Amino acid sequence: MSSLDHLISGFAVALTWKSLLYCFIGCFWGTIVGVLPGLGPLAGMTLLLPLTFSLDPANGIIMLTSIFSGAMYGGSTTSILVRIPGEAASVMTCIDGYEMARQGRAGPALMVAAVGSFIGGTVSIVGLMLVAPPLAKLMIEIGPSVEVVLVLLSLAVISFVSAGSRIKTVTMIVLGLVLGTIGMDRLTGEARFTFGNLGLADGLSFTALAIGLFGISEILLNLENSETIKAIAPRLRDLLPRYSDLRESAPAIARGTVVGFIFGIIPGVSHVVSTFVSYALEKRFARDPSQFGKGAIAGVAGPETANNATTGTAMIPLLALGIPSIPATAILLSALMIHGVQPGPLLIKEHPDVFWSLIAAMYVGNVMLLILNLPFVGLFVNLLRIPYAYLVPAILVISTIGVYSVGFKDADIWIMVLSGGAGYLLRKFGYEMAPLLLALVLGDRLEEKFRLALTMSSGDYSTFVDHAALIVIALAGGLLLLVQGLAWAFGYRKSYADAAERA
Amino acid sequence: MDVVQDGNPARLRGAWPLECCSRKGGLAVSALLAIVGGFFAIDSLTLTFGDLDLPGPGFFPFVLGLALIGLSIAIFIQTYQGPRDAPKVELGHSPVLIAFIGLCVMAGFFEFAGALLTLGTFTAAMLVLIGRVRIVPAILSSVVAMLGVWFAFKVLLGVQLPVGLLEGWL
Repeated sequence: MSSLDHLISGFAVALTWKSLLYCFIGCFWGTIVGVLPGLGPLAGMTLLLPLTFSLDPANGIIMLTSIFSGAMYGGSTTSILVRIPGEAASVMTCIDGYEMARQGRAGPALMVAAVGSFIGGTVSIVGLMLVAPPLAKLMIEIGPSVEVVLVLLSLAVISFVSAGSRIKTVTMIVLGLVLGTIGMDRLTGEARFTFGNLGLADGLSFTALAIGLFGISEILLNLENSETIKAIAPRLRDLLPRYSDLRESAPAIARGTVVGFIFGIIPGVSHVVSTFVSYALEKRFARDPSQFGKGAIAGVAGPETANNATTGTAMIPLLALGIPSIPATAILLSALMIHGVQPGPLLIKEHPDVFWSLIAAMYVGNVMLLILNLPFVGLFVNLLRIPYAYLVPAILVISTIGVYSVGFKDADIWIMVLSGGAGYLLRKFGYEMAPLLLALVLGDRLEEKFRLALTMSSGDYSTFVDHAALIVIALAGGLLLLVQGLAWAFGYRKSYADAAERA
Repeated sequence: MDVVQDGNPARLRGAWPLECCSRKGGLAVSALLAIVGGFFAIDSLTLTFGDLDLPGPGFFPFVLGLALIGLSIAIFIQTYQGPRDAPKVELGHSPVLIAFIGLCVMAGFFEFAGALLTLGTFTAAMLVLIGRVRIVPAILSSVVAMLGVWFAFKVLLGVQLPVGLLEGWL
């Protein structure tokens, strides 16, 4: 079967009423969590993760991916209307988006953000469709030593591109790796740090940890906030942009697509970095850079497009290599594994139905989000009227049931609560949770492949620098240098922190 | 265009935020991380260690535990050498404490008292203590919410929630 045949069969699955329903639920919930400050894509996905367990793998993944895309769309709404980024990747949109809203031009800002998101998202899905299958084929040929090198490089890149303190990021990576060793050793079956508790034999529940570290800690941090929110509510007829808006935003959308596409593959905070780079790029290309910060439409179009263009390409490392590059794809990895589907090179070969229906559903979801976001923007803004304190019990109840329903152990609820408390404390003192979660997911595999590679080579460490591995190292190293160069060239760390502070 | 006043999040009284110097807090957190690293490094000595050529199950946790200790010490030193007039960090706002203690109590009683009873009580308590909702509407809301939970999770999704004290009633 050719890729086109597979895609057609993928659409046959994605366009069934059941898949459309789950895609719609995912898009709707994703937009809600994107709109609500403090609930990003990760919290949104982890909260609904357990609900996908009763679905078949394709529909479960379709729903989770739709949440991810929906949150990316929804984040722009609060950035533009309230000046509060619904999630980290929308920080740059606040700057010019809110200024436009103050000038009575919230409608065009929202319209351009939605159209840019649609274009960026669609192009990145095309990229995913074209790049993932050949990359997966290549990966089947290589051995465990290269996988070790790849995982190590992913972790190295995460620590390089992190916006926070590098030493704290590395510490979180090591903490994630060490927590990943809890449970039965995969190669020998020896129990590690379980204290005779059978509930820990399978290791710490990823769902419980993810919900605790991201969802619960986020809620606890938000409960500290006592400010009221003032939103600018646009009317539907105000949405249409002027001709000059289209002329200015079209090249910004094109550039944003390219930036997001490239950065999406890079592990770490790619979607966040891509928005910053896109904003800086637009400022450089602008005829009048002084307009940036005062309501330049290109400052909305570029970052929003880049932000959504990363969603498709971020799936490439996950689906082709089995390596999650951002926390959201780590949740997808976990969901796939719970459904008995191992992401990685063999996914496309062994479960083409899952892969191609996911691709098709991403196209459908993108169209659905475009339709959802523009006419219903008023509805989503009205969500901000619900007092946060009323939402908290609802979110916590869903989280608890979700965590419990994975393994039916109350120990998992304790893990969720305690990791939530620990996450709250760590975040207060400048530690990021994303590296910890990614390392936790990758740790098992790193250790297993490391020991397997040494066993296969009779303890010869040169196996990690054989021919194939060297090519990977050279490519990844070059990519790393490119990212670092770009990030430093645009003064990412300082300027991003400043922008976040202002927003 | 019109400007609307929104009430999210609710006005929450932060009666007891503990003011903590970020420097001292940072030192304490790094010390805690070092203890975690120490635990893993020491406990992994009871596992099969293997050797450098063929590492056993104890090798990775031992190396990672040591790395965590080393990194924590580096953060400790970095924080210690940092400015002494570092900004304050507020910890333990009353809604945060209420939510966290509520979660702990809920986790403790979840299987014994049953999901509906525990989560219902938790919801009502959160609405009263954090949302400042009056008791009767809070209880009514939580009863309605629990009926929704029962229908959505038990009936629609078939999730086996513990019935606990309500056994025989449900």
